[in-house]
Amino acid sequence: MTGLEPSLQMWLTLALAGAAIVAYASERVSIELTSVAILAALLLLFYALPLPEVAGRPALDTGQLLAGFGNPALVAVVALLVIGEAMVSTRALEGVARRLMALSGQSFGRALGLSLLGAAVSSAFLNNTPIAVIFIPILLAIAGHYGHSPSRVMLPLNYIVILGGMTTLIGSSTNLLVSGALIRIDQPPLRLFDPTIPGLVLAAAGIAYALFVLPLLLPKREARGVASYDDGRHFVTELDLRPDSALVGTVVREAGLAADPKVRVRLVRRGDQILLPPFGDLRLEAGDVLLFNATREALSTMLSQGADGLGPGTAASGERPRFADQVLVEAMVKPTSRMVGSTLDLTNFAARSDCTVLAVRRRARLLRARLSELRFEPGDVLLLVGRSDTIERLRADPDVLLMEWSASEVPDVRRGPLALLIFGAVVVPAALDLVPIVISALLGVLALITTGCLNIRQAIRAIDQRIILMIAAALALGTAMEATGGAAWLAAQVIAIMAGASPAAILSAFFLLIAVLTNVLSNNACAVLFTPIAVNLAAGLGAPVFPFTLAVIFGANCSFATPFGYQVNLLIMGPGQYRFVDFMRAGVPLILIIWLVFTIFVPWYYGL
Amino acid sequence: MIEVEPSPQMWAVLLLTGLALVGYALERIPVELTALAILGALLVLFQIMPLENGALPPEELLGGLANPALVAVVALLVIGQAMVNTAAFEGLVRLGATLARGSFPRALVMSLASVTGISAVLNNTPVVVIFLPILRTLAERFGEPASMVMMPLSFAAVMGGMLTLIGSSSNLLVAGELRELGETDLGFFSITLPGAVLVTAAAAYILLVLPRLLPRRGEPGLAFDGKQFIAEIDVVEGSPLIGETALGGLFPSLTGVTVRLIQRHDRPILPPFEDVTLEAGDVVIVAATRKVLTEMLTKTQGQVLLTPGARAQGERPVQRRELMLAEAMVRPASRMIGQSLAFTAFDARTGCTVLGIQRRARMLRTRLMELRLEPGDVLLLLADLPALERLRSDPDVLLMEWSASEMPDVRRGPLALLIFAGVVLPAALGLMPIVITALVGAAMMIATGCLNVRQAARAVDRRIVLLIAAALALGSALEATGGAAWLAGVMIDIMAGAAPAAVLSAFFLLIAMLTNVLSNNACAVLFTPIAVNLAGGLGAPVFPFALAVIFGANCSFATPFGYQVNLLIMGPGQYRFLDFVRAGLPLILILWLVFSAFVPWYYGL
Repeated sequence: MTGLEPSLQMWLTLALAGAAIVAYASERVSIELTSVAILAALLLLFYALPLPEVAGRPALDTGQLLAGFGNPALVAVVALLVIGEAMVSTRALEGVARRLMALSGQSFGRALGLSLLGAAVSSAFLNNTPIAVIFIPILLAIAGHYGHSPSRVMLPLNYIVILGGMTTLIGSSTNLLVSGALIRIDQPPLRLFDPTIPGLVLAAAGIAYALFVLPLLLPKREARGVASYDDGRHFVTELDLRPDSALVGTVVREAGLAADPKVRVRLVRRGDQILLPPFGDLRLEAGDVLLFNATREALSTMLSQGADGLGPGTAASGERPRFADQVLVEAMVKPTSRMVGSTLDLTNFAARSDCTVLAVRRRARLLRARLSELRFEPGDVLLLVGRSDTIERLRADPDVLLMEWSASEVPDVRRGPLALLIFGAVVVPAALDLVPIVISALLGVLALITTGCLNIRQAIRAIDQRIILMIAAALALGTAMEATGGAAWLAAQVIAIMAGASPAAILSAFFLLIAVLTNVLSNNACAVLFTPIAVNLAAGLGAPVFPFTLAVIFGANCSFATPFGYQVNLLIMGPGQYRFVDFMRAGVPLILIIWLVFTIFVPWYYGL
Repeated sequence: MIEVEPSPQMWAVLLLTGLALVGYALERIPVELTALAILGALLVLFQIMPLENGALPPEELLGGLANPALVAVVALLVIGQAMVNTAAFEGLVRLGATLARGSFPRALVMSLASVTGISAVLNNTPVVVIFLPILRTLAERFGEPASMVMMPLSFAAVMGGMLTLIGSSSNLLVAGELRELGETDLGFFSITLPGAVLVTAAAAYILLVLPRLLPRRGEPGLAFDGKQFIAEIDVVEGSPLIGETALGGLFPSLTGVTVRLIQRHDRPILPPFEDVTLEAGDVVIVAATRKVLTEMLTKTQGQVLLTPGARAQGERPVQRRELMLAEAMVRPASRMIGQSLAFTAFDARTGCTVLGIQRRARMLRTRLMELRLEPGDVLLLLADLPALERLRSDPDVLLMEWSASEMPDVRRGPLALLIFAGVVLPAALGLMPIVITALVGAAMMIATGCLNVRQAARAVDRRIVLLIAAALALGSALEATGGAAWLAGVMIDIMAGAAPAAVLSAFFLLIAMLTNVLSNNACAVLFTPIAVNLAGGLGAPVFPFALAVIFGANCSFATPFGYQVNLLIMGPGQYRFLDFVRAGLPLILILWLVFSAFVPWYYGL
């Protein structure tokens, strides 16, 4: 083993790593600022105190410290976040989710268990990241359907995918890297099922934790987006039944509309006749007009599914405009508006503003008139659909006041199959290791945007600046720790302290060291760094090499406690609305559990 | 000379370069998408058909995202935003405007001349970083859009770099390369005379022709309508307004506002205000636009108390951090209707301070806090972000969200200036790479509250990030596949047998074009040995050809990614790709003509 002389740079780097973890966890300053400060400190440090040159080049120059920004893993994460956004907004995986829910008899627990089981098994044989990418939107849909916060399902998915990856050699890139490192130092490589038995034991313990203990530790955070302003109040709108409508001939009570708890049919207008509830066995006919209350969310879903004849605007024009890609927004009729006392038809609002009025909300009063004949009162709220630039023009409108924060995109479900196809083309080659995931993901983003499954605005919104800065800072820290020998020095210290202890105790300490460091270093770095140490350690103790190799494999996979420890952690951070400290709260117990099980099982099983 | 065998990859990269330029210039699809498509195409190309030497793996092609030059640009954009936010250059600009005796062209010429002069001896980027906020403020002061001054700034800085050997990094690279090839050492002032000729021609173009070619984008200020708010000013003890006498009905310190009423104890004083002198304890009711009110609030640093709410809360609101201005309308069914602000305790309930009230058509001559509210009244509010967000669900007022804007924080101006100097000086003097000082500076700006993370994120232009990443990937691919060298070889083959002056002219044009796609440093390294060989083959002196490399490599005017400073000005000037082509291409052609006429004659080629 190389005896390392601790240098000043090494101490400073280790101190900085500690300070970084504390700063991230306490969140007294924003993640962005912490990350930039770490990068700046490292740049200054190695500019002022450069490391001795290696082969004529400075061991750690500015370019290398900044290289994290161009790291393929980071680019892949960003591209995958965008792809995930497209899958959610086109609801492409909703069908899969619905089938899963049907299979599990509409029980949330069972549906969750079923998908997690699927994730665990597939991640044993495929790359972890694509598996997580597939299951994130599915679990989001399931959680959304049952009204659970996404934060309850994302971390369990994350941990289960990683734990599943521990069970075979090809389950995770880390395992392959360890095997590769073994070959490089002339040791026999690992076979496919070598890690399986201890891996299954560890995974069983971890999965039990993830399913039963973890939900108690997780915060309940609101899903991002609509929930904050959609207060569940109902808009009133009407639906013109065209001859080809799927609702014609159905009984009102059983029609798809009424089955939705967010929708309430108030009356049916047939010619000059007004039919009021209770509707009994009334069958809908072509030409009927349904007046109903619905939440904005329900209306948004209807719009995205086509919505022929929905709303006074579309009914009047007789056209079938496409609302996909458009923006849904609320606007209030101003007290001084010229529209007060006038009707939608008279004011010609739709033509003037180039927006379609979809529905109206009025305080306290029940509306029974046809919407196009409704006389406006100050304070009425209109639900509008339009292109984002026409909506923006409404800001200057003298008659209505735009409630800007209420703007949201109409999801484009018709492009769902197309999005699904692109998604498959991204995920399948990556899962089978045919193409690096960064390439397939970038091409996937390109395809999604050019085919209109996602617009650039949505894509940008999906990108989280915190994640970018955090990864770049973490990679720079990891690079510095490697280059200054900080990680190797820590390992040497642990081994020196443990000198004279039994092999089982040393194995246990060695595992814990790797499991802790892998949360700061990349898995790759850990595997490369610790595999030779493991071999040396075993030789020095006269013990078999294999248990020590296992310690490296399983230890390096234990990146549960920081978001930047593993690619999958970063992918679930946004959807789950997690903070840094959530990873520590949930991950540290898991690391300890895995450590205990490893310490008990492996020495016993391999007779150490 | 290196003979380059054209490979399929090279053809593909050259084709892609052409497509990229067309795609950017047409802007039929967004710049972001074009850049992404280029990156994707390159990644696929070198994944399917890797180069023989194994160059250009994904890490290298994506390396552009981590390029120190790009990181520096992003950090400098953040720092520039902080300087604008804190209005730190306001004093300097006022001085400049005074010196120019209030004439915009004169102020512009003065600034551009200083830019050129300074950038002759310092690095171009820090010079542009310094002058960018200055010129932005200057333009705003004279009511000119930022797009009219940004491109001249960039061009002036790059031209200044042609004046001395240390004016630009590529000059030094050419000199270093020449020294390694055993050719003449270039002296500090070797290039100054031909450089000055080129600068003169460029100056004429920048001052006379360029203003006609530039788009008028980025009109100063937000597009708030000029509607007037009613606000009131407290003349407290120690206020600078005490003792001020109205001249012709106007108070000299209160420019841009209409004084509607002065409340002195219980006695209202109505206009016209002849010989009224303000006393401590007066309350001045004024009508002013939002912009004027904002300026009063920031420039006077709270010396002129502008808020009834502040009085109620007993604090000076300007001292709180990260304040925003926003407008909110009293809802039709609001419980506040018919009540006064004092009665509804709006300030205490919402945490928002009412600065002014806007009402349609009616003249207001009442104290703000005693005014009975009507539906449709618009309140101008001063609040921090959480308070504004809470206001969204308020049943009584409706927040007009787009109207929210951050208050410039002038108190931090000196601090920002200090950090700025710490960023720019070491970089300008070549003590430390600008990427380090800029990153440290950006962190300090955020840490000291000169700007917040949200503002910083907004200052970063994603188009720039993607543009430069794609351009760098394309540049590395052009170099690695030998595309650039092959082009040079073809050009030289075509020009074989022509007069040295003609070869020199064509050589200059080739470099001047390629430097817009490659980085100018790559150009310098690539073309210096070619220049030496070329001169040797023609039996001509090396120096004119070295000049062609130096000046040609600096001609990166026609694309935003040709040079770091172009990227810096792209966002503030709200330029599109095509604007660079339209403004830069004529300049390149002018410089080419002047070079082709002057250099062969002067050096007797």
